Amino acid sequence: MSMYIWFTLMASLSAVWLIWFLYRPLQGNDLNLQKSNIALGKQRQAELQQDLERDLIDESSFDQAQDEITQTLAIELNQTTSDPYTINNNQKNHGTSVFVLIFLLVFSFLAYDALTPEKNEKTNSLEQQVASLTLDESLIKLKDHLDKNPDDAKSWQMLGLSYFELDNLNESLKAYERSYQLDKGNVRTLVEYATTLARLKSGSFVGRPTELVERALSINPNSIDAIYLTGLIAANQQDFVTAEKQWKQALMLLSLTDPNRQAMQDMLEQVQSMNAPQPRSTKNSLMVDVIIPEALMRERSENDYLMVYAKAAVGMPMPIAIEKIHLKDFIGRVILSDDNSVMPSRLLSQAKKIIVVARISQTGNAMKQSGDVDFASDPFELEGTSRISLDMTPAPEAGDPLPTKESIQSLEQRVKEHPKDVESWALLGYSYISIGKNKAGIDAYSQARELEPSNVGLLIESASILAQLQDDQFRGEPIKLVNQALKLDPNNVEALWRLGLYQYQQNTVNLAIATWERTLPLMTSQSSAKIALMKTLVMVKERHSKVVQKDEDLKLVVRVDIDQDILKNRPQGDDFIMVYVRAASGMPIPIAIEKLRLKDFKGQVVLSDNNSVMPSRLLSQADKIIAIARISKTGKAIKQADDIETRSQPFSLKNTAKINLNIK
Amino acid sequence: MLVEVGHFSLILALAFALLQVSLPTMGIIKNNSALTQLAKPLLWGQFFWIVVSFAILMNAFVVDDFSVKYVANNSNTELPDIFKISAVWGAHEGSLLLWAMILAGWSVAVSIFSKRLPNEVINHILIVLGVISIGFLLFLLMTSNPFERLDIVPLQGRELNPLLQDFGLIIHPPMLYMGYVGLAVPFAFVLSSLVRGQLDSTWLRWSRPWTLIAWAFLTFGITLGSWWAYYELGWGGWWFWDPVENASFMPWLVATALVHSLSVSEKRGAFKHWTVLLAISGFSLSLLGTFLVRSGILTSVHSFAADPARGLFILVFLIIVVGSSLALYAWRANLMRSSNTFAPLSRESALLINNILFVAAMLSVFLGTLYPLLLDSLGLGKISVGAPYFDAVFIPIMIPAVLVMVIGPFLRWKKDSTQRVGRLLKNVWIGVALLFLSSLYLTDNIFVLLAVFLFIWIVLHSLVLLIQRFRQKGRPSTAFIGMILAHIGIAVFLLGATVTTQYGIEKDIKMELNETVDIEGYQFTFKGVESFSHQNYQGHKGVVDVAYGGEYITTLEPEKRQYVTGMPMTEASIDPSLYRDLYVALGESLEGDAWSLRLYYKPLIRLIWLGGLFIVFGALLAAFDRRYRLRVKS
Repeated sequence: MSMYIWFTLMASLSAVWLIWFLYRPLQGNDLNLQKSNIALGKQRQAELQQDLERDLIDESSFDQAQDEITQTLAIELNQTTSDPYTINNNQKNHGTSVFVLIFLLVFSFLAYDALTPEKNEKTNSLEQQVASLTLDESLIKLKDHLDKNPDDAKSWQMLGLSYFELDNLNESLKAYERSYQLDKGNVRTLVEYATTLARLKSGSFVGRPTELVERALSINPNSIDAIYLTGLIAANQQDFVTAEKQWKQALMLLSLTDPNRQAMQDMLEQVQSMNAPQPRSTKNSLMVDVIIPEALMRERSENDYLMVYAKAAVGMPMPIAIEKIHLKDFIGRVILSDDNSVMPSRLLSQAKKIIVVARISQTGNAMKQSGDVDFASDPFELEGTSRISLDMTPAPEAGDPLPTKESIQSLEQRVKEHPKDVESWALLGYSYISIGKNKAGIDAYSQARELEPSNVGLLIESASILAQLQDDQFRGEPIKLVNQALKLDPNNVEALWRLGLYQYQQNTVNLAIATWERTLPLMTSQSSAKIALMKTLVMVKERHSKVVQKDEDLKLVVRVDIDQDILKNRPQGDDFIMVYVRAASGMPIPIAIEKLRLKDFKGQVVLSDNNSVMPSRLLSQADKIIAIARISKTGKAIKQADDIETRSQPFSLKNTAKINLNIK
Repeated sequence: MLVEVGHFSLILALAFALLQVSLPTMGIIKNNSALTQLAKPLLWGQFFWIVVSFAILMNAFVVDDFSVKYVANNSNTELPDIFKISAVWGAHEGSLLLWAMILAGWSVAVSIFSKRLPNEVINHILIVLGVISIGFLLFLLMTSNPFERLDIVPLQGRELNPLLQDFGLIIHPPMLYMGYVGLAVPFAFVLSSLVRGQLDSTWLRWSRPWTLIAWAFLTFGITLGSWWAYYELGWGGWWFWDPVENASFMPWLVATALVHSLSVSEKRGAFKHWTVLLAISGFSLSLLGTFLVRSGILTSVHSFAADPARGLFILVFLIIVVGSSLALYAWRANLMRSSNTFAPLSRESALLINNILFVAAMLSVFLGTLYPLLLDSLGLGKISVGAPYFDAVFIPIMIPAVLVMVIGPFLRWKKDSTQRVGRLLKNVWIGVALLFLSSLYLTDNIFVLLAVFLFIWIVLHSLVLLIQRFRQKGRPSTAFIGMILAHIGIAVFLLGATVTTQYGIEKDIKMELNETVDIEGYQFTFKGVESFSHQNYQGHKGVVDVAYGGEYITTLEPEKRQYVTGMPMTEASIDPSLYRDLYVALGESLEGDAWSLRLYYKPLIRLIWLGGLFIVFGALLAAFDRRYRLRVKS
């Protein structure tokens, strides 16, 4: 709203400016055309006289020219019929003033309305929430909003996440606690809250974090995050069997094309291999000489980190073995062996073909940061190699950056001579596309990818270029490439960002939000990219939250009559009764659920939006639904052999506020 | 919200422009002076809101607001601040906003510095300028909104094209636009006169200084562009007859003719048809240039066809402007009849020849630029028209123009005789011949000889004219000095362009570490390459020591840069001087420590831009002549 107030002010001030001059007109000069032409005629006469004196005109021509000047002046004076220009201060201008005011207001607003795309309008309201680029100011905006809307659980959750990103865990916890208190059924809040608590406890989920995760799982037994965390908790407690089981379940729930699938697969394999740890070997240690040029050393601080690690030549780019030291402690070489292995199930001695990377980093973060310098070796067989050398002097660039035509010719020549030069193929592709030769550009990029199919950067670049050719749409080939990149590097921020964008473009907003939220923790705190992503999330959630506002008034009473014979056969204290609704058609995932011990069951439950499993899929939004009541020993989401269940016929919430179920 | 305020400011500017045209027009029709005098306040309001809009867009760049599509497409966080600012006009939308702002700025200047123009004339001119403003503001708002938001804010902006990340490109577009847009002022003078039906001395006199200033800016902008192309593109070239370059050169040729035609119209009342048509053509060519560059048609006719909105808008606007102004010209043609006669040998004739030759030169460039586009659009294939055509057609047209250029000021108005001219200039010609003959020992290159001849021709005539004037009564006017300076600028330019083209040496070679190459007595020794990083790029820097006759002169450090978005760039290293440039560009790494390098020896190349600067200063001197400070008594 304040924006329109500004607009009104601007238009009004403009009107005032004009009206002022209507009633206080500018005093013009008292020249008129006649006077001007006469003065100019005289000047021309004078100049003509000068020309005569300078022998720039002869006498006969002088006379003729003089006549011409006189004639011209006479014609001009004849043409000038208007009276001397005067300002008439007595003219009534009230009508004009009103017209000006109305015109400026009406025209400017109408034009703004007609010319502004819809997204700009929606963005305007969001600007009030996150109006600046700095995270601190965004936090202030959130806090301001929460001061006025203290019961906005979602915003508290966002605040918690923001603080989490700023590493302000205490404030993050407070925010999550508020969110939790307002909405205890929000699985996302529970999961993030638990994660924050664990982070404060150096990664330990013991105690409250575990309770929160269990609650999340009970509300939504199919919550992948909750299942993952459950597995993680189990793994931390050395219960690899449970971890394996949970992650298998998570894997089952993940769709085949989900980019996190591979990561989950790997974790599962690791856990499975945990049960049979490999004996460590002192063979296959690798001495790595790292040559750091003087110029580079001068630019860096002695407290910067030097990280030297080995990774598989093909597949996941996760380090197998790593040595991380300060530059000041570096003596020119490091030794990598099984003792440096990152995971006990994945030892350096087991690797076959590897790449060794040396990186100088100020932060020492696992993710490469802006300002980090690294150098990678070519892939080589570890067997038979005991020593390698890495020279961190940057390699010269291929190609001579000439203006486009020549550079293309040069690149074409280069790829002919060096058909395996990936960089040149990529550059050629880029150059082709920049001059509109799209097909040739696409082919060049394909060629580059064929040479280096596991080059994540190349995959992402190709995807971006292809998307640009389709008006920035990632459907089709671009998203395939992004998914390939994510398979190789599931935590690649650039790829995740584009995946989210694709999901958004496909109108699967919730997936997009989930992907981007997953991306946030991977990004550097307070980086502008992260801030931009947070802003995007705010905007997207705001835009789509309108369709997922809870309806507090909508309640469904589900009365469940349980046959006495059934109750006799079940120890009432331990068994669960789960009452839930799901869509009558489509995915059989619960929309809203209430799960109690039989001993606590009072004959009916009341379901509402507060029981919704996902915040973006509320009970009040559901159309035709089925109500189900199940008695279960295990309380698991998947029906077990000895569970007893009953279900209603499909019905609509618009017509039904109460329903009866009978378990017999 | 600030971005939306910027957008709304632009809309308010359009509202002001609409009122600037309508209210004063109503005032003129109804003889309501209160409405008529609103032209200036309306204009000032329009200018104010456009400046606000521009400032907000600039702010969006400076604070990296990537929620604005234009910012996201043309900037990123790694860009140095100075280039974030210049990125505002680095692409289509921003450059159009700059166009609109400069147009409003010119209009404000006319409204403030035309104290010697009657108000009725100024108001008419401001109305015409308002119509042009409406056209461009509508174009901006309807097809090229610089304030469009992005649905999803990107993680990082793209990049300002590294070619534009340079000081030259910070000031080249604004200067060029000052020239382009400045031609709207004489256009407005002409159109207002045609509308009023009063093609009198007043508009002739007062349009000339504005034309001179616009022409000066255009010259400066073109000179800057040439200089930038030379040092930035890494090829040692300074003019490529590129369609974008031609798009600025054509209005310059017409503006040159206009400046000369105005002098005749002003003093003798002749050439009014020429003057009117040249004023219309000059601005029309500016609009055409905008169309060519902004519609995408120069990249590909098909890319234009695929997204024709912008190109069509400008094309329609161009048709309306040109069509209506020519229609007005036809309607008022009878007012331009003149009974002023002049003999075949006279100053008027010389200036007429000047007009004809400059227009012919413009048409030759016009044909060479548009012909390939025409063929392509008709599906008749693609052809390339480049330097060979332009050199073959343009240069022969300009040679007589240059010859006549310095004879003209010696000729009498209305009538002269060959005997008098011969008597007057006999000694000059003898001097030219002698000097030229002596230069025959310096070279046998026919083109250089021609250039030397023309140089001597122009300089000697100009010096004689200057001395002659000093001997006469009264001090020479600044307009006269300006004319001499501009003509000498042409001579300087001609000499530099020809000598560097004919005698420049380029060597594209492989050099090993510590290897030395000799060019014209200069020894270039390759000392190796080192890597470096900067704010938004990293790269390699070559080191080349230069000596002459065994004595160390300088070290050149050409660079190859890789920008954060992956775009590679060459930065040549130049040792400049007035008599020669030594120029080195880094190629690529070869086996071992060897690199390929391009070495240039460029004699007298700086004269090209020095000549341009002479023309600029000459034009400015002429624009501020005391005859334009004429006091009209009430």
